Amino acid sequence: MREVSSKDGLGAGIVGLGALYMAYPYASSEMAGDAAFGTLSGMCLVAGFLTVCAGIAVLRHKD
Amino acid sequence: MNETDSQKLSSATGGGVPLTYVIALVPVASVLNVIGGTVAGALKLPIFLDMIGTAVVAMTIGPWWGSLVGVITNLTMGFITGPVSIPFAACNVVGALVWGYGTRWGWANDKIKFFGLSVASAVFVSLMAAPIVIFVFGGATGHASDVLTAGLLAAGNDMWTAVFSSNIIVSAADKILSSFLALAIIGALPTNLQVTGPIMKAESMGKAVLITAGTVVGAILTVVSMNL
Repeated sequence: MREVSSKDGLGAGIVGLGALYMAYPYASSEMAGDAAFGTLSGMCLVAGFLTVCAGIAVLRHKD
Repeated sequence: MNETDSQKLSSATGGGVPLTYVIALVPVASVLNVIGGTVAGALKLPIFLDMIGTAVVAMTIGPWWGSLVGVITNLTMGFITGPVSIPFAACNVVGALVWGYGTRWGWANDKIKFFGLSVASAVFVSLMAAPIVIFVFGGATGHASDVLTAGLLAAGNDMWTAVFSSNIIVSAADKILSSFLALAIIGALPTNLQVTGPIMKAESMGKAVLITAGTVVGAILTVVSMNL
């Protein structure tokens, strides 16, 4: 039986963050209307920070 | 933890977790979150209950698997109840990282440390939630905790203080409750799922249960008194 490691978990987390980026335009257009740009920027800023965290976790990951 | 459990855990942490378990656990945890969040929203409870599954997965199979559960949860709730939930996926991710890395660093193996880990997750989630509430929603999201924010604003506090204070009160109650519910669920799972780190058993926790119950009741009374 195949086993998954913490490296696979990191990959799954990054896939999840990618899904967030894809959903944000929908969310911002539904919520903010004309102010969608500001909302989208804020949400992307947060997701970007989490992606940086994921990148650091990949760099620090020991095989 | 007895010697047999320690040996099992030691061998488990040295290897990975079977893919079958992950495929089973991640969707079930996401559904648990969605159900908890939907019930809390429908009953207008002053807590969220949408991170119990996140806590279970983050503490058992790892922080980034927990993040995936958080993202799936909030995206699903976003498409069911409206897009308000989607920005808060970031909070679910942060909670998963705190629970997961906290467990990896040994904070889930002792009652007091575990309580600290729950409070830490509440603080970090609130630190992430407050800017989202203010910048994306202008200070109110329609959650029951908005009444507390309004009360704090009326008392002369500025927007940041009011939003963060109301959020930390509600979040502390929610995360402590979620952490201990997650602990009870983890106790029912196979030991070889605990690959993140050692997790204490959910038995003989009289004081921890009292502390948790007191915190939750206190937070609920605070919110209810603000409603009156």
